[in-house]
Amino acid sequence: MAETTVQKASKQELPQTSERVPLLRARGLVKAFSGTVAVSNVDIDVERGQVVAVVGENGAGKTTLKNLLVGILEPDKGFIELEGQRISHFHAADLGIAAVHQEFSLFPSLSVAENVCITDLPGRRWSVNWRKTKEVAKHYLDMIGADLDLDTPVEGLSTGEQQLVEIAKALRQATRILILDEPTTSLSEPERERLFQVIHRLREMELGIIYISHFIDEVYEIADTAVVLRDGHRVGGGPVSHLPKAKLEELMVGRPITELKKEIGTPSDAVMLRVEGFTSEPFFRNISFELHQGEILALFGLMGAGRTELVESIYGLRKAKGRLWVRGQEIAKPTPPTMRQLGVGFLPEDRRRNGLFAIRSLKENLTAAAIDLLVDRVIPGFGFRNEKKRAEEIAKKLNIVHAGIERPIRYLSGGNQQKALLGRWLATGAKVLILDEPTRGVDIGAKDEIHSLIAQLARSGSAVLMVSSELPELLRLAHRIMVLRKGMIVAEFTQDEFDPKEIIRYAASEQEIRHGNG
Amino acid sequence: MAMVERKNFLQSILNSIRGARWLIVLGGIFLLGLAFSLLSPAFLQFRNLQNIIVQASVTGIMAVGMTFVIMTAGIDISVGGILYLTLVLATGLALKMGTGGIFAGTIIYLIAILLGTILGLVNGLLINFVGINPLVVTLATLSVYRGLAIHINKAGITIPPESARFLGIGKILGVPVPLLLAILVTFIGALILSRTRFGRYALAIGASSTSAYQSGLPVRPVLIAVYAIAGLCAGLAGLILMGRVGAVQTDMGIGIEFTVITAVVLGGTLLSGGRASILGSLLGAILLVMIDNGLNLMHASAFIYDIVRGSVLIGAVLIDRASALELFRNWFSLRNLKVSNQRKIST
Repeated sequence: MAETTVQKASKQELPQTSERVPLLRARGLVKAFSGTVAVSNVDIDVERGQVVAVVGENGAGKTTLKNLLVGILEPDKGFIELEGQRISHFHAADLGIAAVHQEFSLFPSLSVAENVCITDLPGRRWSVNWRKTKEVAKHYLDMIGADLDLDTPVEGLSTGEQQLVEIAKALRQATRILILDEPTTSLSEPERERLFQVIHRLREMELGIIYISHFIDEVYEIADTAVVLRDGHRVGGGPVSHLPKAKLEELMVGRPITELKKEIGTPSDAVMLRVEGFTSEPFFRNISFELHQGEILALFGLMGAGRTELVESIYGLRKAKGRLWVRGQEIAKPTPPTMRQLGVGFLPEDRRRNGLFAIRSLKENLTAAAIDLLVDRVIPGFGFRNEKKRAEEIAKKLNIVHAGIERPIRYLSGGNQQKALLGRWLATGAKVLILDEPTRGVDIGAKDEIHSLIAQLARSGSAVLMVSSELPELLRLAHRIMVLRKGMIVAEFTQDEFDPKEIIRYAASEQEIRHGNG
Repeated sequence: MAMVERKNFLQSILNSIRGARWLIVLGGIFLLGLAFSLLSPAFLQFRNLQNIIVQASVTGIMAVGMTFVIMTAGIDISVGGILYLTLVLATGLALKMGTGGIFAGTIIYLIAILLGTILGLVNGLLINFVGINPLVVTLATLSVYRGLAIHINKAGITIPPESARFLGIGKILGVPVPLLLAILVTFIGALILSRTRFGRYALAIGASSTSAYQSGLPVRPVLIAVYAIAGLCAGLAGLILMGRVGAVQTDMGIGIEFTVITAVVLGGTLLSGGRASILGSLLGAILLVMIDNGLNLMHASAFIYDIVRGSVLIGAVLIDRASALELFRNWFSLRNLKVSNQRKIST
């Protein structure tokens, strides 16, 4: 707690009272989503003219914390004080709090000017003063040095430009506190520089700034103090000047790498999946690798590094240039149905949206991809008598806790749902598994079970390509780790070379490319 | 405590309603049948029951087809247009070919069913390959199909050959053919839904089309096929209607999509997709037709039926929504809260 009360030398003489009371003070914030605790007992203080960095791995609870601070979510426990006054059920804009969200809140078909001013269009009661709107928009865009055509619909802009519009929009609302959630992920280098200049200026204007990021270098570049989150808990923090980089990295990576290393067997030489020159601008370029039978190959990288885009392209969910072989057979144009037929399974990152059939039964969720294998031969094409038996087998094998296999899967816990989605591919007997964040949002117990399962799959000869932003899990499971940064493989580590700090460094900071020895 | 028990009781009732909707609809049919037969002596007359059966077969068969569309979270409002256009084209072609005798009927049947499937296929292709919202596509094709039909038909009346009326007025072993057809279509539909890959895929797509796609299921072919099925059923239903009326006239199938969709939703199929009941759709159609018929017999204004039908649709959708359940839940928890607050104050 002591580390947070460190006061930054104030630039200006302020009245005693407000000197004592921090601009924003939150204590003991707790937020859980259907049983999963996203933010657990987190404190945060923001002084006037201070930049507080909130850092942590993906899924550490950063975005949930942001949503609590801007009133999108209400905390289950704890409180937030703004200038000494408790606030709850508030409308952030009324209090001078604004956030630049990671997922844009822009209206694609409206113009740049309209988007910047949309929360409060200038004009009389029922009319809009368009000239004024443009003036206002221009003022805020100029502040961040964004030279955009005010009349262009936002959908016509690049992601980086949209980000600038989003920032300008937030600037207009932010009279007290500005929260930036991973603002640089889609910015070019000059745009990033400009944003940092703006932040410096806002700091001089006595605004409180919360800067959410997982780029460690940025923290040292811009922040005064840092709050490190891990698994929803505040695990450390304090003035950045007293926080060596190595310490911060360690805090982020978290628990000492457990000796619970899984028995993952030895891969064979047989190439199950081969990718050559995969490119899809601006997400990734020139990606080549081979995945062997019995191997667990991990793709590590930060959000926005292009991991998900890469594996989605391999599975045929996105277009990409390059060549692809599955078990020696070249696939000209991968699509999910053809990949399924070839024995490739895919576990999506967003389980709820892209994996589950929420209102259908556990049984049907388990057999969805394997139903052609289960069709009865007696009356061709009609009925699947073995379905229930097969589903029960898998549910038992994966230790899925359920209250009846015919009950909708949405009643299951996140961990059990995720196991069921893995089970869906088990049912097909898929030999190549592409797993995107297989343990995101599942509790520790289920996580361990999923790890064991993946290890077991590899031992029995499946090839696994696994994406995760949780390094400990990859260190436990993988034979090989490839580090993806800004769409390129910048390093490759084999099992005996695993070094968490080294891997994080390649993923997070500007570092030269490391050439794997294999 | 009593409050909690009551809450659970209410919840379980609501849950069971959502679980076995067709039973509720069946109960509704009997209750309503009883009420109408008491209110109007004409209701139970043979002729009237026959009317209901034919009309319910037409609506019911279309509802079975529509169920496949709605279970994928789609909608097809062009079925009335398909019904009319297939009849105009089929009778027109048959008469032009000059086929008379007993084969005229068979030829008209084949052409109408084939055309219905094709027109449905056009819907499916437009929705899937042009990527337009099903509501917009079928609203457009409804207008196109009907306009085309009236243009071809010169807004006239075509009298089909007598042999083509079998599906409407024929009997096999004393059982009206429309009834047999409705039962057959429902049976096949239920079989497809529960026993084939296609049915499974359709439900999965309705539950989450992105999940279905990412699981490697053939999303597009299924989404095209369901509209073809709806078209086929509309073509078949038209043949029954034509046989019954003995003519092909411009008012055929006008507004029927509304009754059909209401029947499907009433039967327990979710408009948002992913859950469906074929039998429910048929029973829903029977219930709606009965309401229409009963109100007619009671000399109610024709618009009363519209009011009732609309209300039934809203009621059915409300039961489907989890939020209806939530509403009850919240209402009770709110009352519990108030009670406990009062207690606090008083102690």
